[in-house]
Amino acid sequence: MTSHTEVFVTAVYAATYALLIGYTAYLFWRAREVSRED
Amino acid sequence: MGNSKRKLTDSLSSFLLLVGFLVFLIGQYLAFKAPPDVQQGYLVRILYVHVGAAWTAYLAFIVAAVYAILYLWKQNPSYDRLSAASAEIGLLFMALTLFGGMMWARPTWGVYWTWEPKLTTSAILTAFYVGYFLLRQAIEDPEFRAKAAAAAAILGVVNIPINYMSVYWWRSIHQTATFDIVNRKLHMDPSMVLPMLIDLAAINILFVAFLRMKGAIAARAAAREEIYD
Repeated sequence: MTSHTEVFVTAVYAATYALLIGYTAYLFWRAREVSRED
Repeated sequence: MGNSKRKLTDSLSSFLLLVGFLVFLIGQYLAFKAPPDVQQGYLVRILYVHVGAAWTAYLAFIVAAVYAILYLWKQNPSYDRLSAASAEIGLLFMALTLFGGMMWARPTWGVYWTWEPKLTTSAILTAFYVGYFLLRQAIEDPEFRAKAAAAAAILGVVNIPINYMSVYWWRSIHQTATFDIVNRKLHMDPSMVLPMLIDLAAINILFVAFLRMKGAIAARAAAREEIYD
């Protein structure tokens, strides 16, 4: 793999992990927010 | 007085999250061990998440439509909340599909974006669900909002077969579907099939976990609103 294509593959996997981990973190944050004053 | 030790999510959702991430890591390991494509080399590694994200976005929009039908039938607000939750997750995966596609397009086609049929119908599909959330934001009456959103969610799935079939109906530069339902073929080497199916399974497991969590959060938020109203 050339360094040129490496950048694009890395960007896709970084975005995938950012989305999956970021959305999981967001859901836990929202769950904490809505349960805080139950 | 609330229970400060109340769990943030149920056991099954936590289990699905854990399994989803583990399966995704296994899928990625196998994807990076798979041989390079004869034409695209290691750039083909984008395919393993691009296809999984696209199919999960389709699934999420179909689930949103099913819950929308259930809402119109049963008039139960929990179905509206689940429909909105599924549409939100679908939109996230659609955004990832578009980003993955753009990163793939630049080194293969020379441009990040071109208005060819597959990309154009993908953009329309994404824009439709952005519109779905703008619609939800614009209507204050909860019952009217749920009914209008249900109609939009049902209408939205019409875009899915158009998007999928666009590569057959209007041949252009986008390759035909990897999962070729039309000709009942899988257009890839068997050594690449397993990592792609594992990644697809992982993203689907995470979709179910996200949907359960988002649905529970929305239900709890709605219950709180009822108490304070």
